[in-house]
Amino acid sequence: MNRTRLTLTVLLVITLQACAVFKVEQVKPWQKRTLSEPAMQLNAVTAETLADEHIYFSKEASTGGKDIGGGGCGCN
Amino acid sequence: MPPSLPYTLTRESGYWRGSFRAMGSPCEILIATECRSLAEDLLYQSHAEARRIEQKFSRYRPDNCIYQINHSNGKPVSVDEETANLLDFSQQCYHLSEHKFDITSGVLREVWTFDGSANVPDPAAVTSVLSRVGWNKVDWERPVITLRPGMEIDLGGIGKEYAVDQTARLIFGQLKTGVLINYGGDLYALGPQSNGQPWGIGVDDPDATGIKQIGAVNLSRGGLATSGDARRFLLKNGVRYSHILDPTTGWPVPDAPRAVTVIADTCLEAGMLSTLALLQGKRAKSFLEAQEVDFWCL
Amino acid sequence: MKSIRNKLAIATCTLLSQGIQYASAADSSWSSDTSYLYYSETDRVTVHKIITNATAALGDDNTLSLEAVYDTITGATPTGAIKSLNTVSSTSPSSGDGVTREQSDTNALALFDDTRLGVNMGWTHQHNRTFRVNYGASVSVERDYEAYGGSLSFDKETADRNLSFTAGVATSYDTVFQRSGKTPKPLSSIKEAKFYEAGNKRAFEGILGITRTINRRTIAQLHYTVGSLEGYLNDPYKLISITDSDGREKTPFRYYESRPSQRLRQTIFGALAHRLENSDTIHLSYRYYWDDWDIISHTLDYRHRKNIASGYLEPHLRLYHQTAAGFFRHSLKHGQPLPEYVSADYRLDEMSSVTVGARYGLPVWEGTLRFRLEYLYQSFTEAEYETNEALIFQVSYKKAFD
Repeated sequence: MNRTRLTLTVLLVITLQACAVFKVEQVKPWQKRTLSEPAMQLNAVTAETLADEHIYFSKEASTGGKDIGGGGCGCN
Repeated sequence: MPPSLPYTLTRESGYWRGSFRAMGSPCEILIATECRSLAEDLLYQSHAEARRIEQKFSRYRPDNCIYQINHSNGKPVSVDEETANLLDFSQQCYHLSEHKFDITSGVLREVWTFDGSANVPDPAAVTSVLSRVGWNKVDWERPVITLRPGMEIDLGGIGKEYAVDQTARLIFGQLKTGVLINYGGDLYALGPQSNGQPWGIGVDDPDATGIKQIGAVNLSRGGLATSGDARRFLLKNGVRYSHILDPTTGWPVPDAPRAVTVIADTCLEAGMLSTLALLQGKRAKSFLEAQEVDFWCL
Repeated sequence: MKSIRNKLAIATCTLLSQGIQYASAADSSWSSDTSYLYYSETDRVTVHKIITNATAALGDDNTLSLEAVYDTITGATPTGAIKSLNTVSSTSPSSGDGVTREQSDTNALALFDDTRLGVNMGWTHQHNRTFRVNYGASVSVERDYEAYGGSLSFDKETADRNLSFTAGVATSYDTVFQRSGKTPKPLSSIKEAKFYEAGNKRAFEGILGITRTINRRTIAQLHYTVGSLEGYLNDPYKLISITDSDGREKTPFRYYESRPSQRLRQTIFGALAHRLENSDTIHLSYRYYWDDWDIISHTLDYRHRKNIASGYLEPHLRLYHQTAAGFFRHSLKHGQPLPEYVSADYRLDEMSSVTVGARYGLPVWEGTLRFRLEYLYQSFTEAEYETNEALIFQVSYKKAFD
């Protein structure tokens, strides 16, 4: 219970901090050069993300979140 | 905690002034609007474009195509569209200037340093370096360029002008009133000020850049560029060697004007005409008169 | 002197009327990403994995991707049984299952080797500027597992493309068996286990997501996913020991585990990418996971990319904590009735894990070469083996072609 409360508090603090730093603005098409760079992509599927998903799927009880589908395996 | 921005925006009477540094020079964009957010948008775009071009074409960076080409050691290098367009343009200018504008002339800097001293190089050294200069030695078969080992290209001679024109093109149509783009003295006006008056531009005395102005230009639309730098020269036995090197001889152009300012339809044209005028030496003035453009020749 | 002004004007006009080309992966008509991964646990399993991915744009509206994964796994893995010092004979659960058990105290470990080949195919069709559909299919085959899956998802963007919604479903059909092709009866003693045919597992998953541009240098994402599994959810090799009042193992008493035949898992996942003023890029994500096996987990992931010379260096930190499954037990007490569901699989225990490492990327031959080295440390609350350590090394090369 204490741990849950602590987690929630930490999350709240992070969110408030984030709101302060990440001021929300309307982004115009010509302002998206940075956002369109490969390094800024949130859903990039790379050899590293594929490998990590497989590693943590086979070593932990939780999985998913980023995406659905993809091959299962007998490692868990 | 607001992050520190790479540019500043200040209110002037009748327009916003955005300032930043790029391509080794102070850059400015004056935006004739009351609307701060619009000014900020245009400043952001202008800064991003200047930085993009700097990053892509600067010969001081180890991560771009210019670096690849200059370190290809005789191997062919395939370039992207935009680089190819600039190489095509440079090639046309090479022919138009009768080989006086040459993007391979940068290696002459290995023997010439214009620091006001008497360090005039040995003619044999100049001849030796000159063997690695000359666009005609370059194999340019769009989109593949092959340089001989030891040769280099440098788009610095048109980079700022190109950045000015591309920025103007990028923000064209986003604003009803005018914008003045000024990247280190290369300018383009995209319409007049809010009150309909042209932008007033001071032409600096080349001996006192930023201190003393010797004239003023009114510009509503079009490009303006200045070539020449009176502070860069060599002095030996009473002979003044200007920093304008003729790539066909490897030696400074005799009797070159100290500075040439030209107004033309685009910043690139203005820049090219002023550069070519310097390369004409004492015929600079007659060259510019033949082009039927407005100019200041000092 | 002759005038060159007109010719110069034409050359300038030609130059300035060309489109500006921005370097981006999407411009290329196809790209490939190939990778080798080495994963090695201290005294446990070693994995060699080869991943190759090819993505091709067919015209402006269609993108096809094909991905193949081949891996080999060798080494020892905890069975769930406890370390025992007085083992006298082989405790191999069945003949011919290809799994040999060691004779020493490590018979709580099972040696195994396996190879897996997985293939994923994807097709993305852009219906119009703001709407696209993604189709996916996957096959994975091992000596003791087969999986077939399909997925369908939709992405819809607002007209200004600052907000994007994702909705999708996926299903898979897996077959689980020991090498013999059979599965042991749950909670049967390994000495006299009954064997059934291969087990089947069906999965259904759904996703709802929203991605929003926050400002010119920040983008954020929030996902909700739900997954339902049903069928044979046991690991057919996992065991649980019966101990006496001293906590010693009753040698003959080892049972196959028994898990519920249903599992409902849900996640809330948030991710953020941000470009700092010094042009570093940070990726931060957090996942909250919960399921009806009483497992709750938190995962925090942070990557910080710094440009160095012509490449980049990207340190990475991942923190993970999960609670134990309700039916997880270290072992069972002799004389007590067997519970309906029980497992001693360390992966269902309460666990904390930390991954630290870094990736280095540099341009090579017009592509990007990446090296990654990471260290994974897991600690368990009750499981027989209290910790697990692994080293992850991966080298990858991505190249785009016109």
